[in-house]
Amino acid sequence: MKQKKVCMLGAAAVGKTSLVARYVRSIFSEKYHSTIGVKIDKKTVQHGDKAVNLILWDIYGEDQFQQVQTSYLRGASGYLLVADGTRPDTLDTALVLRGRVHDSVGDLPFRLLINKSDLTDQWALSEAVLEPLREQGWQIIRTSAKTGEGVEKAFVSLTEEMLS
Amino acid sequence: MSSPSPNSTPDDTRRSGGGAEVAGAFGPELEHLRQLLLEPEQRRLQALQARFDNPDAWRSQLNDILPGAFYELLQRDNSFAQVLAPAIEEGVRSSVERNPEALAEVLMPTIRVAVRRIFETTISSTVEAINRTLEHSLNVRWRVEAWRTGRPFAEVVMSHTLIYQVEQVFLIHRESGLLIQQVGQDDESMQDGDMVSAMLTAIQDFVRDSFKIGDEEALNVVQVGGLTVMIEQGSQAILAGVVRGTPRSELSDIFQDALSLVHIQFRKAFRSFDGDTEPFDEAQPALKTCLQSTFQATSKSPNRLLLVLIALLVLGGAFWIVRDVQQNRRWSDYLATLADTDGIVVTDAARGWSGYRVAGLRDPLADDPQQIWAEQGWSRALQASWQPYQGLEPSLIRRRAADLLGPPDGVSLTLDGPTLSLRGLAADAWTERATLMANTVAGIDRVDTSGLVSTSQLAAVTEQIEAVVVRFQSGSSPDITAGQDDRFELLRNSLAELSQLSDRAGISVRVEVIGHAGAFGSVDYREEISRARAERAAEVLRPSAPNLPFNAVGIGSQDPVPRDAQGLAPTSVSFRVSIGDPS
Repeated sequence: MKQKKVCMLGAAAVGKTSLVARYVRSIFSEKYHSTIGVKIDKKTVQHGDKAVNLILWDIYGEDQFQQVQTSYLRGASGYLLVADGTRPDTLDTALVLRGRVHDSVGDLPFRLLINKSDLTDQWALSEAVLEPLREQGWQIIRTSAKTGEGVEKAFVSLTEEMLS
Repeated sequence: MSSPSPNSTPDDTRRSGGGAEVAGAFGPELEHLRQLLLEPEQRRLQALQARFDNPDAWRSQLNDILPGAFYELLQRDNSFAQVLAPAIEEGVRSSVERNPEALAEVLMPTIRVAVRRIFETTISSTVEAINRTLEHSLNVRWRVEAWRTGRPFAEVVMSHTLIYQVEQVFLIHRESGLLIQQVGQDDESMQDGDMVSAMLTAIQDFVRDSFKIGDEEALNVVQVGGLTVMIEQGSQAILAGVVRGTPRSELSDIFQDALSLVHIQFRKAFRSFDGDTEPFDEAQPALKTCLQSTFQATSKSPNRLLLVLIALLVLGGAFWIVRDVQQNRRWSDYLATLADTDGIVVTDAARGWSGYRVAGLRDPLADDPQQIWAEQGWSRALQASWQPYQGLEPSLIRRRAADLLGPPDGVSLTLDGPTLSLRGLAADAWTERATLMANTVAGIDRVDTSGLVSTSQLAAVTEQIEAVVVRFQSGSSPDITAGQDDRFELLRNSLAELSQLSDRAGISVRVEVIGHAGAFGSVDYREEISRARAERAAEVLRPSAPNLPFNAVGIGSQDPVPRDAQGLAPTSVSFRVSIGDPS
């Protein structure tokens, strides 16, 4: 079976872990995040007639106290950048992380997930902010850990690009 | 004034116009001075030129310099190795493509050792597991523990004897942390190896980052309680083994050997690894060599109780086998005896745990099977079931005829085919009745009575013989009185008939010839003369019945004194016929 290493990156509390909690198989507890800074999950995605195992490295969110360890990015085939649609500053963090990933492991397939799309009344990210990124070729997907919107699509589309 | 260039040769100087002028101006002295100053340098230059012009000399000098230069470069840093690597790789690839045999020959010893180790490990671990379970199979305490805890007995044995066991082995891609292959002692423990591998890689990265360790350094051992994770580092992959117990130092060598073999075997696959683990399926045998188990050495001295038990079992088994063979032979002999017994037909016979059983047909006149059973010394009971029938074996026909006819003593019955022959001395009435009744016995068609002698006939002959007295003359010589020819004729005829009857009936007949004497002389004399007379008479009569035994005795003058038609005959011989047992 084919396997791919996929990293999940984003600012603290953007909902990375919640986003995938319902869709992945996990044997490790949340405390790994606060100890070694990463938690491993597995997501199986069907690609054509073959299944692909995505080994998800859910990396602890970047904040003022802790930086993402770039060594965790080594050997990744792709990554998911997660931002919180209700906190515009998390998009900035995502952009910084994107740059760090690029510097560390080069140009890899990725998706930018704008999470918490169910909180429409608190939504603070305008399309105008995202449009320049789209113009650069970024694939941006709105997701919701609560409703599941966009989650499967994010994994499937990233997998397709990684295998292409 | 110009001076020659320091690099100019004397010839150059001579060729140049300036030089000629200088030589002309200063003469031989200057030339001599110039030679003194420049000759050593010129010689060195000539030597260098000669070295350039001679490739062999260059090669020789480079041979001396290059090894030392390479050594210094490799010691300094790995930049020289990096420069050389592509050329060496290309060289090796080119060599393999051109002549794969050469590299195969070089690698074969290594691969052979590794393959042999795989095979040996697989076989020895299987044999060891069987041995261990057998060795401890009589351990009652562990049996009780297994029963009490509900665990399999083999597991209890292992828990008591295990020093260490490699339970799982992960082959992990070094860069991505993806699981390439996984082997384990059992399938149950092999779940989620992919996530475990990734987390193990993350922990390694975490340790390396946290303690500022270089890339070439790595976490080699993780120990938690009774579990140890041993990690061997390779250029493309790492090998992690989960060990229960206390691993020994040689385990690291085994891991390293397996990892090296995988690197050699899957060099191309590693180079093009994109997350597809299928090309590495063939790495499983090499990884399985790492699934080592080491158990406590068991006492070499044999368990005495076990030995006694085994000895008793062997002795008991041997005794049982010998006894069974003997019993089987005796049983076969018994059945053979029954088969040879007239009037018994065995239709079913069985020997088992429940006993001995026989069934069939039996003539009531046949020998008793239970009696044969007892005579052969059997102590166990025989269950016999017989259906009656009438056998036509000659012995049974004869016995049946004998039971029916009730022959008198001295009469024998013989059967020759369907003919019953009667022989002996019998009354005429019995003979008549027997002839009639014998024909009613199954198997008898004819009765032969030619061997029967009538009692009345024999009595008549006997009476005739015993009635004759042969007179002898008085005196000491046994002389037969003349004129007794008729008596002798009668005796000869009667004795001949008696002999014939005796032969026919098979009865023993003895003729006693009794000599008598008068009152003259002593008792001894009388007995002597009387015996001489008896012997004389027997001598005369014996030719007439040569088969009859004659017994001549002398009784002297004892009573009774014989009598004939002329009266008392004291000097005479009389006769007595004795009929004995049939011959």
